Amino acid sequence: MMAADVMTGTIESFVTDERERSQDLVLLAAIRAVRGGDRVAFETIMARSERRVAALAWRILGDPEDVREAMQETYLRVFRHLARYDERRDFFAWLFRISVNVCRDIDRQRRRRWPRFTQFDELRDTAADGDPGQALDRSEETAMLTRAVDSLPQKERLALILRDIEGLSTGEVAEILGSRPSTVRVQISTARIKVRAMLDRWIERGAS
Amino acid sequence: MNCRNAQVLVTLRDGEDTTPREREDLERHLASCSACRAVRSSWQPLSLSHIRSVPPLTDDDYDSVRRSVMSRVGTSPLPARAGIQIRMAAVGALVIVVALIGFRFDRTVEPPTASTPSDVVAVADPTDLGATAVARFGESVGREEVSTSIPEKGASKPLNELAETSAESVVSAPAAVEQNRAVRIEMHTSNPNIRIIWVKSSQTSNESSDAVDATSDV
Repeated sequence: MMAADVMTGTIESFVTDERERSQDLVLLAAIRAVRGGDRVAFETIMARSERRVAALAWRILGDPEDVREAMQETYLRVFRHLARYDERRDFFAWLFRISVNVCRDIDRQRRRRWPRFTQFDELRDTAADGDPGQALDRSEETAMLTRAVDSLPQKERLALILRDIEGLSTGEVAEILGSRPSTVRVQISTARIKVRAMLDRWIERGAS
Repeated sequence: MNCRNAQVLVTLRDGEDTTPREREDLERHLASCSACRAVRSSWQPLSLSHIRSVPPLTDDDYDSVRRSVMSRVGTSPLPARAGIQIRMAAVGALVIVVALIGFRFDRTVEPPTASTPSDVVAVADPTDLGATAVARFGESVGREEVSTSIPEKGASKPLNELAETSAESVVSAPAAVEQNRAVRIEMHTSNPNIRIIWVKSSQTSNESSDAVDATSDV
Protein backbone atom coordinates (compact mmCIF):
# COMPACT_ATOMS: atom_id res chain seq x y z
CA MET A 1 0.00 0.00 0.00
CA MET A 2 2.78 2.36 0.99
CA ALA A 3 4.73 1.45 -2.11
CA ALA A 4 1.66 2.24 -4.20
CA ASP A 5 1.37 5.64 -2.51
CA VAL A 6 4.99 6.37 -3.19
CA MET A 7 4.54 5.31 -6.79
CA THR A 8 1.43 7.49 -7.16
CA GLY A 9 3.28 10.42 -5.65
CA THR A 10 6.20 9.90 -7.99
CA ILE A 11 3.91 9.77 -11.01
CA GLU A 12 2.05 12.90 -9.89
CA SER A 13 5.33 14.68 -9.34
CA PHE A 14 6.54 13.57 -12.77
CA VAL A 15 3.32 14.75 -14.40
CA THR A 16 3.56 18.10 -12.61
CA ASP A 17 7.19 18.52 -13.70
CA GLU A 18 6.29 17.66 -17.27
CA ARG A 19 3.38 20.09 -17.22
CA GLU A 20 5.62 22.88 -15.91
CA ARG A 21 8.23 22.06 -18.51
CA SER A 22 5.71 22.12 -21.33
CA GLN A 23 4.36 25.42 -20.02
CA ASP A 24 7.87 26.80 -20.10
CA LEU A 25 8.17 25.61 -23.69
CA VAL A 26 4.93 27.39 -24.60
CA LEU A 27 6.23 30.53 -22.94
CA LEU A 28 9.56 30.27 -24.75
CA ALA A 29 7.80 29.73 -28.06
CA ALA A 30 5.67 32.83 -27.43
CA ILE A 31 8.77 34.88 -26.57
CA ARG A 32 10.44 33.80 -29.81
CA ALA A 33 7.29 34.52 -31.80
CA VAL A 34 7.07 38.07 -30.43
CA ARG A 35 10.73 38.62 -31.20
CA GLY A 36 10.00 37.39 -34.69
CA GLY A 37 7.32 40.04 -35.17
CA ASP A 38 4.18 38.31 -33.92
CA ARG A 39 2.61 40.85 -31.56
CA VAL A 40 -0.41 38.64 -30.84
CA ALA A 41 1.85 36.07 -29.16
CA PHE A 42 2.55 38.61 -26.46
CA GLU A 43 -0.89 37.86 -25.04
CA THR A 44 0.30 34.29 -24.41
CA ILE A 45 3.27 35.62 -22.46
CA MET A 46 0.92 37.70 -20.34
CA ALA A 47 -1.53 34.87 -19.78
CA ARG A 48 1.30 32.58 -18.67
CA SER A 49 2.81 34.98 -16.18
CA GLU A 50 0.29 37.64 -15.10
CA ARG A 51 -0.87 35.90 -11.91
CA ARG A 52 2.64 35.77 -10.52
CA VAL A 53 3.28 39.38 -11.45
CA ALA A 54 0.00 40.40 -9.83
CA ALA A 55 0.82 38.46 -6.65
CA LEU A 56 4.23 40.09 -6.38
CA ALA A 57 2.84 43.56 -7.01
CA TRP A 58 0.07 42.96 -4.50
CA ARG A 59 2.57 41.96 -1.82
CA ILE A 60 4.70 44.99 -2.46
CA LEU A 61 2.01 47.59 -3.03
CA GLY A 62 -1.05 46.26 -1.18
CA ASP A 63 -3.53 48.19 -3.27
CA PRO A 64 -5.59 46.66 -6.12
CA GLU A 65 -5.54 49.80 -8.24
CA ASP A 66 -1.76 50.09 -7.90
CA VAL A 67 -1.45 46.41 -8.79
CA ARG A 68 -3.33 46.92 -12.08
CA GLU A 69 -1.16 49.93 -12.88
CA ALA A 70 1.98 47.97 -12.03
CA MET A 71 0.96 45.05 -14.22
CA GLN A 72 0.25 47.27 -17.18
CA GLU A 73 3.52 49.14 -16.92
CA THR A 74 5.47 45.93 -16.30
CA TYR A 75 4.21 44.29 -19.49
CA LEU A 76 4.75 47.36 -21.59
CA ARG A 77 8.37 47.41 -20.44
CA VAL A 78 8.64 43.67 -21.05
CA PHE A 79 7.46 44.16 -24.63
CA ARG A 80 9.86 47.05 -25.24
CA HIS A 81 12.87 45.20 -23.88
CA LEU A 82 12.07 41.63 -24.90
CA ALA A 83 14.93 41.64 -27.39
CA ARG A 84 17.34 41.97 -24.47
CA TYR A 85 16.05 38.91 -22.64
CA ASP A 86 18.63 36.13 -22.59
CA GLU A 87 16.84 32.81 -23.17
CA ARG A 88 19.45 30.93 -21.17
CA ARG A 89 18.28 32.66 -18.01
CA ASP A 90 15.07 32.28 -16.04
CA PHE A 91 12.32 34.33 -17.63
CA PHE A 92 10.53 34.92 -14.33
CA ALA A 93 13.67 36.29 -12.67
CA TRP A 94 13.95 38.78 -15.55
CA LEU A 95 10.22 39.53 -15.39
CA PHE A 96 10.30 40.00 -11.62
CA ARG A 97 13.20 42.38 -11.91
CA ILE A 98 11.17 44.61 -14.21
CA SER A 99 8.10 44.21 -12.03
CA VAL A 100 9.99 45.13 -8.84
CA ASN A 101 11.40 48.22 -10.52
CA VAL A 102 7.92 49.27 -11.61
CA CYS A 103 6.54 48.67 -8.11
CA ARG A 104 9.38 50.67 -6.62
CA ASP A 105 8.50 53.62 -8.86
CA ILE A 106 4.81 53.42 -8.02
CA ASP A 107 5.55 52.99 -4.32
CA ARG A 108 7.85 55.99 -4.35
CA GLN A 109 5.28 58.17 -6.11
CA ARG A 110 2.53 57.04 -3.81
CA ARG A 111 4.52 57.71 -0.63
CA ARG A 112 5.35 61.12 -1.97
CA ARG A 113 1.67 61.83 -2.69
CA TRP A 114 0.27 60.55 0.60
CA PRO A 115 2.39 58.70 3.13
CA ARG A 116 -0.47 56.47 4.22
CA PHE A 117 1.70 53.48 4.97
CA THR A 118 2.30 53.04 8.65
CA GLN A 119 5.81 53.81 9.71
CA PHE A 120 7.71 51.59 12.07
CA ASP A 121 7.53 53.91 15.09
CA GLU A 122 3.85 54.55 14.56
CA LEU A 123 3.24 50.84 14.44
CA ARG A 124 5.07 50.38 17.73
CA ASP A 125 2.84 52.97 19.36
CA THR A 126 -0.24 51.30 17.94
CA ALA A 127 0.91 48.03 19.43
CA ALA A 128 1.33 49.69 22.81
CA ASP A 129 -2.28 50.85 22.67
CA GLY A 130 -3.61 47.34 22.07
CA ASP A 131 -6.49 46.18 24.21
CA PRO A 132 -4.98 44.19 27.14
CA GLY A 133 -6.29 40.72 27.55
CA GLN A 134 -7.57 40.43 24.03
CA ALA A 135 -6.49 37.20 22.49
CA LEU A 136 -4.36 37.41 19.41
CA ASP A 137 -6.06 35.50 16.65
CA ARG A 138 -4.68 34.49 13.33
CA SER A 139 -6.24 37.24 11.26
CA GLU A 140 -4.99 39.88 13.67
CA GLU A 141 -1.53 38.39 13.56
CA THR A 142 -1.63 38.41 9.79
CA ALA A 143 -2.79 42.00 9.74
CA MET A 144 -0.07 42.95 12.19
CA LEU A 145 2.60 41.15 10.19
CA THR A 146 1.40 42.84 7.04
CA ARG A 147 1.61 46.25 8.62
CA ALA A 148 5.01 45.45 10.07
CA VAL A 149 6.32 44.41 6.66
CA ASP A 150 4.82 47.50 5.05
CA SER A 151 6.55 49.70 7.58
CA LEU A 152 10.02 48.46 6.71
CA PRO A 153 12.40 50.54 4.60
CA GLN A 154 11.94 49.73 0.92
CA LYS A 155 15.11 47.68 0.38
CA GLU A 156 14.54 45.51 3.42
CA ARG A 157 10.88 45.13 2.56
CA LEU A 158 11.56 44.02 -1.01
CA ALA A 159 14.26 41.58 0.11
CA LEU A 160 11.94 40.08 2.73
CA ILE A 161 8.97 39.81 0.37
CA LEU A 162 10.97 38.14 -2.37
CA ARG A 163 12.78 35.80 0.02
CA ASP A 164 10.18 34.87 2.62
CA ILE A 165 6.89 35.39 0.81
CA GLU A 166 7.75 34.65 -2.81
CA GLY A 167 10.16 31.94 -1.68
CA LEU A 168 13.03 32.87 -3.98
CA SER A 169 16.63 32.07 -3.09
CA THR A 170 18.92 34.80 -1.84
CA GLY A 171 20.86 34.61 -5.12
CA GLU A 172 17.68 35.16 -7.13
CA VAL A 173 16.65 38.02 -4.85
CA ALA A 174 20.06 39.62 -5.28
CA GLU A 175 19.77 39.35 -9.05
CA ILE A 176 16.31 40.89 -9.07
CA LEU A 177 17.29 43.73 -6.75
CA GLY A 178 20.66 44.29 -8.43
CA SER A 179 22.50 43.77 -5.15
CA ARG A 180 25.14 41.39 -3.86
CA PRO A 181 23.89 38.22 -2.11
CA SER A 182 25.78 39.16 1.06
CA THR A 183 23.99 42.52 1.14
CA VAL A 184 20.62 40.88 0.60
CA ARG A 185 21.32 38.39 3.37
CA VAL A 186 21.89 41.21 5.85
CA GLN A 187 18.77 43.04 4.61
CA ILE A 188 16.67 39.91 5.08
CA SER A 189 18.07 39.33 8.52
CA THR A 190 17.52 42.93 9.62
CA ALA A 191 13.98 42.87 8.27
CA ARG A 192 13.18 39.64 10.09
CA ILE A 193 14.53 41.00 13.37
CA LYS A 194 12.46 44.17 13.04
CA VAL A 195 9.26 42.34 12.17
CA ARG A 196 9.82 39.80 14.92
CA ALA A 197 10.42 42.58 17.44
CA MET A 198 7.25 44.33 16.36
CA LEU A 199 5.17 41.20 16.67
CA ASP A 200 6.64 40.22 20.04
CA ARG A 201 6.06 43.68 21.43
CA TRP A 202 2.48 43.65 20.28
CA ILE A 203 1.81 40.23 21.73
CA GLU A 204 3.50 41.19 24.97
CA ARG A 205 1.49 44.38 25.37
CA GLY A 206 -1.71 42.62 24.38
CA ALA A 207 -1.16 39.86 26.89
CA SER A 208 -0.37 42.21 29.73
CA MET B 1 33.03 36.66 14.27
CA ASN B 2 31.45 39.67 15.93
CA CYS B 3 28.00 39.88 17.53
CA ARG B 4 26.43 41.63 14.55
CA ASN B 5 27.46 38.90 12.12
CA ALA B 6 26.42 36.26 14.63
CA GLN B 7 22.95 37.72 14.99
CA VAL B 8 22.53 37.84 11.22
CA LEU B 9 23.38 34.14 11.06
CA VAL B 10 21.05 33.34 13.95
CA THR B 11 18.09 34.70 11.97
CA LEU B 12 18.92 32.60 8.91
CA ARG B 13 17.44 29.16 8.92
CA ASP B 14 19.69 26.10 9.11
CA GLY B 15 21.12 25.27 5.74
CA GLU B 16 19.83 28.51 4.26
CA ASP B 17 22.42 30.87 2.81
CA THR B 18 25.09 29.84 5.29
CA THR B 19 28.18 27.80 4.69
CA PRO B 20 29.28 25.01 7.05
CA ARG B 21 32.25 27.12 7.99
CA GLU B 22 30.01 30.04 8.96
CA ARG B 23 27.97 27.67 11.10
CA GLU B 24 31.14 26.49 12.85
CA ASP B 25 32.23 30.08 13.45
CA LEU B 26 28.79 30.89 14.81
CA GLU B 27 28.88 27.97 17.24
CA ARG B 28 32.32 29.06 18.46
CA HIS B 29 31.05 32.60 18.96
CA LEU B 30 27.92 31.45 20.78
CA ALA B 31 30.03 29.35 23.14
CA SER B 32 31.70 32.51 24.40
CA CYS B 33 28.93 35.13 24.04
CA SER B 34 25.95 34.95 26.36
CA ALA B 35 24.14 37.88 24.66
CA CYS B 36 24.09 36.12 21.30
CA ARG B 37 23.14 32.85 22.98
CA ALA B 38 20.13 34.64 24.43
CA VAL B 39 19.21 36.00 21.04
CA ARG B 40 19.36 32.57 19.50
CA SER B 41 17.37 30.88 22.24
CA SER B 42 14.61 33.47 21.97
CA TRP B 43 14.57 33.67 18.19
CA GLN B 44 11.44 32.28 16.58
CA PRO B 45 11.33 32.10 12.81
CA LEU B 46 8.59 34.09 11.12
CA SER B 47 6.02 32.62 8.83
CA LEU B 48 5.11 35.21 6.26
CA SER B 49 3.88 33.11 3.38
CA HIS B 50 0.22 33.80 4.21
CA ILE B 51 0.64 37.57 3.91
CA ARG B 52 -1.31 38.88 0.92
CA SER B 53 -1.28 35.45 -0.63
CA VAL B 54 -3.93 36.14 -3.27
CA PRO B 55 -4.33 39.49 -5.01
CA PRO B 56 -7.96 40.71 -4.93
CA LEU B 57 -8.27 40.77 -8.71
CA THR B 58 -11.00 39.14 -10.72
CA ASP B 59 -10.68 37.50 -14.13
CA ASP B 60 -12.20 40.64 -15.57
CA ASP B 61 -9.40 42.66 -14.03
CA TYR B 62 -6.82 40.46 -15.74
CA ASP B 63 -8.68 40.68 -19.05
CA SER B 64 -8.89 44.43 -18.75
CA VAL B 65 -5.15 44.77 -18.13
CA ARG B 66 -4.38 42.41 -21.01
CA ARG B 67 -6.59 44.31 -23.44
CA SER B 68 -5.06 47.61 -22.41
CA VAL B 69 -1.51 46.30 -22.85
CA MET B 70 -2.27 44.60 -26.18
CA SER B 71 -3.83 47.75 -27.59
CA ARG B 72 -0.66 49.71 -26.78
CA VAL B 73 1.62 46.89 -27.94
CA GLY B 74 -0.07 47.07 -31.34
CA THR B 75 1.32 50.54 -31.92
CA SER B 76 4.77 49.99 -30.39
CA PRO B 77 7.81 49.09 -32.48
CA LEU B 78 8.62 45.42 -32.47
CA PRO B 79 11.28 44.39 -29.95
CA ALA B 80 13.06 42.24 -32.54
CA ARG B 81 13.43 45.23 -34.83
CA ALA B 82 14.87 47.23 -32.00
CA GLY B 83 17.43 44.47 -31.56
CA ILE B 84 18.31 44.52 -35.23
CA GLN B 85 18.69 48.28 -35.12
CA ILE B 86 21.10 47.98 -32.22
CA ARG B 87 23.08 45.31 -34.04
CA MET B 88 23.17 47.36 -37.23
CA ALA B 89 24.34 50.41 -35.32
CA ALA B 90 27.04 48.30 -33.70
CA VAL B 91 28.19 46.94 -37.06
CA GLY B 92 28.24 50.45 -38.55
CA ALA B 93 30.31 51.75 -35.66
CA LEU B 94 32.69 48.81 -36.06
CA VAL B 95 33.14 49.51 -39.77
CA ILE B 96 33.95 53.15 -39.06
CA VAL B 97 36.47 52.22 -36.38
CA VAL B 98 38.14 49.68 -38.65
CA ALA B 99 38.28 52.20 -41.50
CA LEU B 100 39.86 54.81 -39.25
CA ILE B 101 42.42 52.35 -37.92
CA GLY B 102 43.18 51.13 -41.44
CA PHE B 103 43.64 54.70 -42.66
CA ARG B 104 46.06 55.49 -39.87
CA PHE B 105 47.93 52.22 -40.34
CA ASP B 106 48.14 52.83 -44.07
CA ARG B 107 49.60 56.25 -43.51
CA THR B 108 52.07 54.89 -41.01
CA VAL B 109 53.57 52.06 -43.00
CA GLU B 110 53.48 53.46 -46.53
CA PRO B 111 57.14 53.85 -47.54
CA PRO B 112 58.18 57.14 -49.07
CA THR B 113 58.85 56.92 -52.80
CA ALA B 114 61.30 58.74 -54.93
CA SER B 115 59.05 58.87 -57.93
CA THR B 116 58.30 62.54 -57.61
CA PRO B 117 60.87 65.17 -58.47
CA SER B 118 60.54 66.79 -55.08
CA ASP B 119 62.13 63.72 -53.56
CA VAL B 120 65.34 64.22 -55.54
CA VAL B 121 67.92 66.45 -54.01
CA ALA B 122 70.91 67.61 -56.02
CA VAL B 123 74.23 67.93 -54.32
CA ALA B 124 77.51 69.27 -55.63
CA ASP B 125 79.73 66.89 -53.83
CA PRO B 126 79.46 63.73 -51.75
CA THR B 127 80.63 65.70 -48.78
CA ASP B 128 77.43 67.68 -48.98
CA LEU B 129 75.49 64.54 -48.70
CA GLY B 130 75.42 64.40 -44.95
CA ALA B 131 74.19 67.94 -44.39
CA THR B 132 71.63 67.73 -47.18
CA ALA B 133 70.33 64.44 -46.07
CA VAL B 134 70.18 65.50 -42.47
CA ALA B 135 68.31 68.63 -43.46
CA ARG B 136 65.88 66.65 -45.54
CA PHE B 137 65.50 63.34 -43.80
CA GLY B 138 66.70 63.89 -40.30
CA GLU B 139 69.55 62.29 -38.54
CA SER B 140 71.91 60.21 -40.63
CA VAL B 141 73.13 57.09 -39.01
CA GLY B 142 75.98 56.14 -41.29
CA ARG B 143 77.32 55.87 -44.78
CA GLU B 144 79.20 53.26 -46.75
CA GLU B 145 81.17 53.31 -49.99
CA VAL B 146 80.78 50.51 -52.50
CA SER B 147 81.96 49.76 -56.04
CA THR B 148 79.31 49.38 -58.64
CA SER B 149 78.51 49.91 -62.27
CA ILE B 150 76.50 52.73 -63.69
CA PRO B 151 74.18 52.69 -66.69
CA GLU B 152 75.53 53.49 -70.10
CA LYS B 153 75.22 57.17 -70.88
CA GLY B 154 72.79 56.70 -73.73
CA ALA B 155 70.68 54.31 -71.79
CA SER B 156 71.00 56.00 -68.50
CA LYS B 157 68.01 57.08 -66.63
CA PRO B 158 67.63 60.13 -64.56
CA LEU B 159 68.54 59.37 -61.01
CA ASN B 160 65.05 59.85 -59.82
CA GLU B 161 64.03 57.03 -62.14
CA LEU B 162 67.05 55.04 -61.07
CA ALA B 163 65.77 55.22 -57.60
CA GLU B 164 62.69 53.33 -58.69
CA THR B 165 64.95 50.51 -59.81
CA SER B 166 66.55 48.49 -57.14
CA ALA B 167 70.26 48.88 -56.61
CA GLU B 168 70.74 45.19 -57.23
CA SER B 169 69.06 45.35 -60.61
CA VAL B 170 71.39 48.12 -61.65
CA VAL B 171 74.42 46.07 -60.72
CA SER B 172 73.21 42.88 -62.31
CA ALA B 173 72.26 44.26 -65.74
CA PRO B 174 75.56 43.99 -67.72
CA ALA B 175 74.06 44.65 -71.17
CA ALA B 176 72.64 47.91 -70.17
CA VAL B 177 75.51 49.29 -68.19
CA GLU B 178 78.96 50.56 -68.95
CA GLN B 179 81.55 48.55 -67.07
CA ASN B 180 83.33 51.57 -65.66
CA ARG B 181 84.03 51.98 -62.09
CA ALA B 182 81.84 54.28 -60.20
CA VAL B 183 81.42 55.42 -56.70
CA ARG B 184 78.23 54.60 -55.08
CA ILE B 185 77.52 55.94 -51.67
CA GLU B 186 74.67 54.74 -49.70
CA MET B 187 73.51 56.57 -46.71
CA HIS B 188 71.23 55.01 -44.16
CA THR B 189 68.89 57.20 -42.31
CA SER B 190 67.13 56.74 -39.06
CA ASN B 191 64.14 55.49 -41.00
CA PRO B 192 64.90 51.93 -42.08
CA ASN B 193 62.66 52.34 -45.11
CA ILE B 194 64.71 55.20 -46.50
CA ARG B 195 68.13 54.89 -48.06
CA ILE B 196 69.95 57.70 -49.76
CA ILE B 197 71.99 56.68 -52.80
CA TRP B 198 74.62 58.83 -54.43
CA VAL B 199 76.30 57.58 -57.65
CA LYS B 200 79.23 59.16 -59.37
CA SER B 201 81.30 57.98 -62.35
CA SER B 202 85.03 57.73 -61.69
CA GLN B 203 85.82 58.79 -65.33
CA THR B 204 83.67 61.88 -65.48
CA SER B 205 83.97 63.17 -62.06
CA ASN B 206 83.03 66.73 -62.98
CA GLU B 207 79.99 66.10 -65.06
CA SER B 208 78.54 63.11 -63.47
CA SER B 209 75.07 63.26 -62.31
CA ASP B 210 75.35 64.21 -58.77
CA ALA B 211 72.22 63.69 -56.99
CA VAL B 212 70.82 62.38 -53.89
CA ASP B 213 67.86 60.23 -54.18
CA ALA B 214 65.70 59.09 -51.46
CA THR B 215 64.24 55.72 -52.06
CA SER B 216 62.55 53.12 -50.15
CA ASP B 217 64.70 50.27 -49.12
CA VAL B 218 64.60 47.26 -51.38
